[in-house]
Amino acid sequence: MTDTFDAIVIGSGISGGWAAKELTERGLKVLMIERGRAIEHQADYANELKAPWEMPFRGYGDQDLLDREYAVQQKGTNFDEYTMDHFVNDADHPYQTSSDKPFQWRRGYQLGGRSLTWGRQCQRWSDYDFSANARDGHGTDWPIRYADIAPWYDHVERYIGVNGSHEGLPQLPDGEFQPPMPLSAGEKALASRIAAAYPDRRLIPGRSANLTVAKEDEGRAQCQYRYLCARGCSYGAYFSTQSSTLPAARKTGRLTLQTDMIVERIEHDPKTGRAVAVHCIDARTRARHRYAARIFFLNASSFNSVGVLLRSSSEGFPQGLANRSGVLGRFIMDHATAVAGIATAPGLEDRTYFGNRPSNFVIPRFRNLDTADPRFVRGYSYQGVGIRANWPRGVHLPGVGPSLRRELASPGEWRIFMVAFAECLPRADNRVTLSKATDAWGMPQLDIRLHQGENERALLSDAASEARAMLGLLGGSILASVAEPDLAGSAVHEMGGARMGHDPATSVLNAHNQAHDVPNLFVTDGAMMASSACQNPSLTYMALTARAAAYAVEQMQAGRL
Amino acid sequence: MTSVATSAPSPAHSLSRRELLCGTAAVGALALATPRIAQNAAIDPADLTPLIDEVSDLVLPGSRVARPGAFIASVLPSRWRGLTVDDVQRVGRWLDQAVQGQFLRRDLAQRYAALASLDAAAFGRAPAASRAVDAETGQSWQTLKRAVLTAWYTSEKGGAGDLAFQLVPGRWDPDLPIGDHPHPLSNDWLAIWFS
Repeated sequence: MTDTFDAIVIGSGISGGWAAKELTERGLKVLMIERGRAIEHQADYANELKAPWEMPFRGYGDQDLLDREYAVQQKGTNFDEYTMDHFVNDADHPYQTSSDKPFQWRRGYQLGGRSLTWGRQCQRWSDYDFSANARDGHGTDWPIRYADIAPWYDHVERYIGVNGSHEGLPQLPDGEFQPPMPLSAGEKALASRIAAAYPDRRLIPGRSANLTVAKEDEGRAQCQYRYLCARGCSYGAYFSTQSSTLPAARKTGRLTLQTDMIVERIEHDPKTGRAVAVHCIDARTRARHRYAARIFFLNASSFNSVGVLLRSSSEGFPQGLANRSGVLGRFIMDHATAVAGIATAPGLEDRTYFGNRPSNFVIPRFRNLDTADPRFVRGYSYQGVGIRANWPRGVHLPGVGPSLRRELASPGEWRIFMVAFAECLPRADNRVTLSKATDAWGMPQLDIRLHQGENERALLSDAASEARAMLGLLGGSILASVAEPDLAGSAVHEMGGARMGHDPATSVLNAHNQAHDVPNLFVTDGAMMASSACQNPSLTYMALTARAAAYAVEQMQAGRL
Repeated sequence: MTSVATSAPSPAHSLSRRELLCGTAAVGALALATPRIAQNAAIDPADLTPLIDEVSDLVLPGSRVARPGAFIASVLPSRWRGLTVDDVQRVGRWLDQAVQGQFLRRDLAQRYAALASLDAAAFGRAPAASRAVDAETGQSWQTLKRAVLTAWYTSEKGGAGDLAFQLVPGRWDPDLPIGDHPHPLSNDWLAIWFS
């Protein structure tokens, strides 16, 4: 039996939620398919309000269990005993990677996907980014420019609520911001020293999808400064599918949600040249289902969307659906990251802060904007925090007894951390393919190969050097500075594999995220990315999803889809 | 190129950002160099409770009230905070040898002196004439010290007693005089993470 819809959205994460919201609000009857379990807003945030002493392992988890079943996930930020149910069990969901360059694939297979655990930083891309491939020849030219996406950035920011400061920086365009979350004393000290020493650099408050002003009409309260976001937030104070886009889609009465349903492949009709249905496996019963629709939005997360297309091969598309170009699965990217610098900030011992700000500071890119550095192309930015060291510093302090207990009952020294995010160039040999190994449902596992190249290493080397120079302005000690990239995947900004482009011979998607080869198929998650920039990408996924949804509906209404 | 499935821990170890930021790199370095094999199955971790209680109370006087020995012994089999039965036993043996007898039967002054000596040696601050600490014992001590500190500051008495604890701060005050908040939040998650 086949159920039929106007549109099917595959995936319920950041971009899938946006696709469902926009398509239903524009009048379509939509099925949203999620491979993982349902997590309902508020009711299912099991550990949201627990203190460490209420957890079996005080928040740190059962290390044997983590090593056995969460070998990859446990290495990532936001993973702990409170949040582990929002990450996949690696043992249940294996993938393949190379032994010398292991890719760290952080995933969340549940309703809302990684929208529950994301870092929430929302940074616009600029024309430095959308024209980068055309300028230096790496990758293929983006088929859009900033002007094409700017109104959609506005649209998304207004709806999800992004806090930030207006800075007037061309490389990091301002948006429709709520009031910013201010810098701490240590961060302000560094900001003023950088401003004095480097006219082309600025340390600014992060721009995060946490409400500083409530959106009462949407049932969302302002941030309570708990920094428990990844546990799920019953206040609805940060953007997630559950708090924001899913309620909007449900409100239309046109959304059907199907969880625990794994999309195996998309069926293509060679006579019409269109996608006609998705074939699914019930994750619990293994029963098979077929759902038909007029249009399809693929939002399964970058590499899983590529996997669906690769698994959807047919006589007409032997290398995977919408892959006449042969580039499907190629040119994958993830930001090259490293802890560029950690330093103490003396002289502020009489200052502290209160609350948990769920954001950070940003030092936007300053390399290769209007000049050309001979050592590398593209650029990097920093994200960081300034905090007062807390009780874990005692592990590294000599001494025992009353003096240690007194010491740890007071705030420790100020420390400033700066993590560099360097742009990853698109390269054909960085690639996702289907493995011969299969998963629990008999489908091929993904094989992910991504290495950071010489350009990324040169960027991170410069980033570490410049971080030391900037942190040195504080007059403290440099505690650490790393130029070697973290394992690929550590940024959790995987992108590419079904890139956008002008030319059907060299790209999978056109300027509207529509597959060149299959006009009623749209891919609007990270798979679409033709370059990586050095900004967080999720805001761009959301904006391009909303834009593509508007285009798709317009085309349907005009009878062209 | 060989492929590896990710259902098992990666054979290659690279210092991850999380390890560096959590400050676990130094403490875990030797543990990574020395393969972790099965823990001493002949020992019931509960038998180590008195030693852990005593060590905790010497490191942080008064912390015994949170029953750290019982808690840590209960999570030892899962290598909580990297700690193993072997680590605790190794520290116990060193302390017994330091007091030339049974550490737990010595008076408070002797127990404190022995533990302070171990700590100083492990941090490279012991006087030249002091009893040496081999690298493995020094590492075990730092791991045990991390465990007792964690047990205390994640207990209600330590985390909401010595320090402040407010699960819902409700506001962000970015720049305050230290006198307004002389005790840090034990749930200053970013600071915990980055310390």
